[in-house]
Amino acid sequence: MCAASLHAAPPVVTSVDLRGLQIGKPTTLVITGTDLLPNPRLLTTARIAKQTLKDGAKPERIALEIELAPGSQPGLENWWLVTDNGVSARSVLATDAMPQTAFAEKLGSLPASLHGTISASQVREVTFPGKAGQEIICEIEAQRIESKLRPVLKLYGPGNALLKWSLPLTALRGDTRLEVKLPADGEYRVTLNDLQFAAPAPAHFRLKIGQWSYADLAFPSTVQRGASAEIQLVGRDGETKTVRLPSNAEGRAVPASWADAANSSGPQPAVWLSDLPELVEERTGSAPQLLPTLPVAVNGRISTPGEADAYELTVQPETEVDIQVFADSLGSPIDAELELRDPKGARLAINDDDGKSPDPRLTYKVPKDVTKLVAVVRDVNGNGGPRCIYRMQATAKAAAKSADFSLTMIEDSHTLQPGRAGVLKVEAKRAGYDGPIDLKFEHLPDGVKVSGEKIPAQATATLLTLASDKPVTPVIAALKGRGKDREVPAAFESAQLGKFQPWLENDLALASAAKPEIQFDAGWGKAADGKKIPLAGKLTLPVTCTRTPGHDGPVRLTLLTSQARQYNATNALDATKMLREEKAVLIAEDKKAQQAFDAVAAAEKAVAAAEKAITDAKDDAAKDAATKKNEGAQTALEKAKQALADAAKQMKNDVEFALLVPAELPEIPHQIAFKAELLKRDGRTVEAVTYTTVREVPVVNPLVLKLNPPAPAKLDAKTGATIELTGTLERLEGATGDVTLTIAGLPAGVTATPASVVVKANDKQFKFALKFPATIKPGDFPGLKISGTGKPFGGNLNVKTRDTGVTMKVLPPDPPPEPKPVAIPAATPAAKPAAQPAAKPVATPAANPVPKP
Amino acid sequence: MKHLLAFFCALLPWLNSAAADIAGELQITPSSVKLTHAQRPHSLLVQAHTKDGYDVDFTGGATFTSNNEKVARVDVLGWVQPVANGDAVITVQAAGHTAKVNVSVQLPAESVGTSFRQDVMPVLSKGGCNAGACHGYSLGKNGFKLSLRGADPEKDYLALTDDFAERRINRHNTPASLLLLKPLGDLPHEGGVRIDHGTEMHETFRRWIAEGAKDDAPTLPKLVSVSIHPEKIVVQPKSQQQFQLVAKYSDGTERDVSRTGIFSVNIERVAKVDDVGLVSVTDLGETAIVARYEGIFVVANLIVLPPDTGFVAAPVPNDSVVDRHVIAKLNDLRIKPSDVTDDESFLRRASVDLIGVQPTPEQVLAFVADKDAAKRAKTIDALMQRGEFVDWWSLKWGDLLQNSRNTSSDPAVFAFREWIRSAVAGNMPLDKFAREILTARGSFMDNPAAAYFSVSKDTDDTLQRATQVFCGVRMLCARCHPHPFENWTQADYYGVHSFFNQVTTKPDPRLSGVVNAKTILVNLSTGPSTNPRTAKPQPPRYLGGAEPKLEAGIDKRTDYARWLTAPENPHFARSLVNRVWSYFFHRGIIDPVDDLRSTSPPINGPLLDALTKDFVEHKFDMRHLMRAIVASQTYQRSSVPNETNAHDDLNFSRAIPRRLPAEALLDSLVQATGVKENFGGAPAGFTAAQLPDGNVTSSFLALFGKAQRMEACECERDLSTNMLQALHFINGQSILSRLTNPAGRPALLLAKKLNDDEIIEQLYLWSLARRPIETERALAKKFIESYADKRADAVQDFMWALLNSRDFTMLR
Repeated sequence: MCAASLHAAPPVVTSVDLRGLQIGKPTTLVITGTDLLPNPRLLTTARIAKQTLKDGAKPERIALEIELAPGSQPGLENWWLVTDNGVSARSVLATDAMPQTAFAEKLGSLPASLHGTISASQVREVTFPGKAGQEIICEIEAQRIESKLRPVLKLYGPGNALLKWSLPLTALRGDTRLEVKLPADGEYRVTLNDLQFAAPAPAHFRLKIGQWSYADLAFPSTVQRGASAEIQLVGRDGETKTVRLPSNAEGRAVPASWADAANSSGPQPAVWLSDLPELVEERTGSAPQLLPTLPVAVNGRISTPGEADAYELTVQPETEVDIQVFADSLGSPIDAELELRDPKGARLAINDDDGKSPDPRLTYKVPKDVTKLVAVVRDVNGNGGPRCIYRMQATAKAAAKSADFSLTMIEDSHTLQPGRAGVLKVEAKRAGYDGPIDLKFEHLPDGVKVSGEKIPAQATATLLTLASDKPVTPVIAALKGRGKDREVPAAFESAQLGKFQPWLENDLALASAAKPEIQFDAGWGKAADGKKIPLAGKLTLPVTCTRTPGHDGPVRLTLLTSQARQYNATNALDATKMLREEKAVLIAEDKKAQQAFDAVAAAEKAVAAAEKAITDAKDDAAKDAATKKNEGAQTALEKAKQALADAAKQMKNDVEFALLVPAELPEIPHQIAFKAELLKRDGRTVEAVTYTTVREVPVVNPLVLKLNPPAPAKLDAKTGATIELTGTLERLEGATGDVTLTIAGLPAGVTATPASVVVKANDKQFKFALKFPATIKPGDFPGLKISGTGKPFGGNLNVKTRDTGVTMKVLPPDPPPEPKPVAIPAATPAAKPAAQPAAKPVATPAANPVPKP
Repeated sequence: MKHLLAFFCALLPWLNSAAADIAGELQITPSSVKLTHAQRPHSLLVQAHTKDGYDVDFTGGATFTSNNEKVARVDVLGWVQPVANGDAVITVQAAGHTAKVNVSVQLPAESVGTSFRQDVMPVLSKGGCNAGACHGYSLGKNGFKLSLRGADPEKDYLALTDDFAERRINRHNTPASLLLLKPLGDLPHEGGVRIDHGTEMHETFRRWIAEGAKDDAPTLPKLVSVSIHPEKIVVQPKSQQQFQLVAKYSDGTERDVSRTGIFSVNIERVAKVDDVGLVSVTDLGETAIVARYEGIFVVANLIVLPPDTGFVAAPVPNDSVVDRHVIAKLNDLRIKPSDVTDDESFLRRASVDLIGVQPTPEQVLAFVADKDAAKRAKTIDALMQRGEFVDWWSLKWGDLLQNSRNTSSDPAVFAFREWIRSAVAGNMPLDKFAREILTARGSFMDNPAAAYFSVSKDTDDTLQRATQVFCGVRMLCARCHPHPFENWTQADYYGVHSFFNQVTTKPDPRLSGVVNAKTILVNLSTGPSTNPRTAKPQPPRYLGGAEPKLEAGIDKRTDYARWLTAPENPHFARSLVNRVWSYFFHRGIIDPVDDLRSTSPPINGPLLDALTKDFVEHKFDMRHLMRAIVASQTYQRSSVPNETNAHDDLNFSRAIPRRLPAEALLDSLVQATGVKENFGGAPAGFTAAQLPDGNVTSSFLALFGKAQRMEACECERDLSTNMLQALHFINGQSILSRLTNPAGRPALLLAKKLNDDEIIEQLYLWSLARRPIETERALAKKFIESYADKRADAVQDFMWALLNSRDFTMLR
């Protein structure tokens, strides 16, 4: 029922002086934060040969000397700080052969990699000596290392003449770079500022000055999974170098290998992997390039300004095709436009931006008899060049809707408590796949047990529980999810890394804390049993915590649920759609217990002083006096201890948590747990963390509609038929209020009387009369749905009952009565009955009941 | 009758001038006359030069005699009337001199009818019938609508002859025509009597109706140009001068249209003109005489000089393109320029003008102590290397290009600001600067200059902004009708419109949800714009120029930008030179600087021409232009007038005191007092000159006229002075709180334990960027001593007094 606490919090890193490691030489990182001891070391995706804690380490500041393993590649790497108390949050650092130093105002030599931060309107400057003809690159890595700085670089030559400047560049994911050949010998000055002179935090940066090789893009950007390919690295001045991608690449994307690793710097360009046939543009003339049947993708490039690349698609008539162009999302500088033409060149459709992205997308319904379409890609601004790459993907819409999903880890690190369980939330973003998703860790240390490894069908998240009996070696693990025939890696959220270094998003650091010394537990109160989650209602859950004397600060509780975060139209978190705390929950500190604890401490101090006085007594009289005093102190201590024990018993450690429930949730059991953080008396520092167990709570719709099976009705050839539909509305979980019922799916010509029924708060019954016209064809009428909406718990939230389907049956009318035999005069020939006009059916009261008003 | 009266009144000064001491012969304009139309006489202007350099008009006082009145007659005013084919000689006598003019009369065999366009339309204009206040109003008047100032003769013809069942003319009873009865006052006419009975205007209307009110044949020669005579004259006060207006047609014929042209003067203090072009001079000075005939404007230059009392012309320098032409003009005007100003005044003026803040005490003292003869030139170069130079000139361009968060997104404004700053810092040639702006497209992230187009509401806005900033021309009027003071027509307007009509915007998809985030697109398939008056497409047409043949599918702005920035372009370099000049003086060489037109001629044409040529030859280098201006003696003149230039505030003969612009005033105040200003809505630490736009909270800047960037016009910046500004300096917190601030200059100086002399000098240097003269020092000492032991109060109050002096708020 309860989980034990941590003794001390995991490390929290607030800053690091360098965000880069030099390949080939040791680099010393100075890290500041809290709880950085004991035994701090770097856990990183980079390969480390050796790391040493420098002397003078303090819990709030340490220095680690890091030496990378031989053969390390330039690029970006994840890193975490691990101590014996756990693991910090993740960060990113760069690796290359440049000397890494803190920002300085003057440089003696190049190349240099300077690290620093900018505050608000600050302008940072550095000077360096330059020679006439020397080719220089100045580049900022900020956004790419998860900073929010919008860098503007300026290079001034001798005489304060501005030589070149650069703004944040799309191709560099918001970072910037300038390249120049120096015009004269002399001192050069580089300045750096935030574009809006209001640098948002974090505003760290790495300024590189010198000469090196880089590659911003890979072409083709995407390769079919399992295929090997020649990849062009697009670098300086659009120059390309070719490397080979092996066929065994896995994941969403892989880094393209360097052509010249020793002299390279910067992130490795991503090569994305897809399951489609991936072609490369082949342009030999002005005719459209013929593509194979859908699905297909082609990797192209707007090579010259104003160029338009045309592709002929073979399509199935009367199907929908989905054509999508990726350019901005690949880091290409073009604002692509997609035009769809018929083979004669007439425009069928055009798109510039697909919603919030500059990349275009078209869905087109292919007319009958049409089997060929031409898709044209161009840049709306008429740009062209080696960097202007794109990828066009064409699929049949049905295929595009194939079952898909992605997984998001809410945390990128997790500290395990030996012998105890922790909770980790994983969200599923479903894109056509609603089935269950099985989760599985890779590189999980031995002895770590995981539960909750399944995201149930329709569920949008799960709470994984991790536990190990003994401390584990820190690892970088990965989590994958399998649903139907698809396996996807779980990724933490990094707005930047996911776009250009997606492989870094999949890392989850796991480390152990020491065995807890403070008893701090959190669990559910008994009243939690049998609770349900009422839509639009409120769920009250009791939570119990146990604090020990001396560790008696407030407890902060954070709700964890298996509902994914919900967003509104502007992509902001929408709390109204989420299961949430009614208000922030804090178990307040207990002043009486704190006073009792302090009194014990004071009494113990008095006893110690008294005992020392006895020892120090120089004569019997003094000894007697001290002994007497000691007796008094001992008595006072006993009393204080007793008072503390009483206070501890009376400590208020229970709280009732009120959860607000949105009006819509899948009606499946939802997982709920609480993270409990014991704070020190300052109310800020976390002293210990624990979790409740994960509890599954069913969701209940408080409005339940029950229909009585409707009796079939016989059609009257004159008046039609009427079927009465009756039932009851049940209100659960204390729901009240009026509920309005409506019917959907009525066949043409059929009317409901009344059109909607309001079931009053004090009523349950309802009734509709469905009138079928005389002209309707008798038979079964399925597809009718009755539903109701109301505000079962007041407030503004409307809850809708489940749709209740019903099938109506209309019987054919009775056949017309046989005509009575008529005596025929002998001289008159018998008339053929068929030649007679059909006798009108005569309605009988039984066959045509009059509906009750 | 009234003209005749005016004529006799005008005779007096002519008679007086007849006694003038004439140098050389009489000059008759034209020197010979060819008459080809029976109803089109030609006037003769009779002029002479005096020995002391004045022009004298003898037209009104001369006697004219024809030797063959069967061929040509001449009246007392010198108008030559054709009679029959043949030759004649007109003898002109005035001031004891005689001149002869040959007249050739070549009338066609058949009489030529009255032309609607050549005869009737000018009378409609002269009578004011088609003016905006009358029937030229967009809705007409009293049911009768004419095109504004005769812009559309086809419609006007129909309005006169067809509207309301031809009620305005009576082909069977000409005198009963409304077209005659109303303007003659024979029927009630809200516009009053517009023409007199028996005048040529009356006769023109009558004759045209009597001849059947015919429309013109398509072969009718078109008006191609108009000239005014004399083009430039120098006269004495109280004199008179007749001007002659001659129209030239596409068949080569000429016609004297002085009686149907419309005259005005630009500066009425100097002269007045009547409605037949007779100018009466009233005061010393210079003005343009503007004449309009059928939409074409011409300008003559009138200079009024005092009697020569021994003026000695200054040597015309050759080492300065500025001084050369300014001195030459001043010599013409018999004005002696003021002396060059002292070092301290020069340094303050150059600093404020070049970098937007006055010099510090250290800089003043170092400059004064420098004995280098070239120190002013060196200082100019040094100022242009300063970071504040970039701040100051980027601010000016930011104003003109209207970079503002009102119309662009925050990041786009800062990106465009950086782009402008880099252009100034890198001394980007202004032709390139203009081309890059006018052809920018995409997102500000792709091209920051594209933010220029974010400002525009539509193509009209872009056109008007672009022509105003880069040509100094206001085109707004020509959107709906011909420009009232310039030759621009709707064809010109929509011709330029067609260059910019491909520009569209879309929300920037990379900045979803960001206010005013736009991407600039160019739709290459957009055709020419439509002239709403003709409802016809108007192909691209350069401003006042040709219509180029452009390939389809190109960005037409590129061609416009190429034309605009070509060295031979008549607008670009000239307007920029004029604009830059205005930043260093109290006015442009043409003023106002963003309303250049032929009717507002330069005060010194050769100066503007020479500076423009120099600017073009130096590849549109703004710093070179500034250096030429600031290094000139003209710029460095004292504001103290002499006996010859006290009346002159136009010809740059002395410095005219002017108030510091709002940002320079505030930044100088901050520097003087040592207490910074925190602007709401701007990054921390920014000076006033560095502000990204006008969307900042600063009552000081608002009061002193900071431009809000709502218009592409220098006029948006208010440089005037008013009572509120004075009260703010007297009582406002901007001054008082700074002076009493514990970290303010008075406290800092007191902390240095300076003696009275030292502290007074420091206060003068910080406040006025100069040292006190002896009388000031003595007065200051007395003032401080009067405070006895309240020395802190004394220092604060004394600095308050200095900051409230005109030596601080004004550049002198």
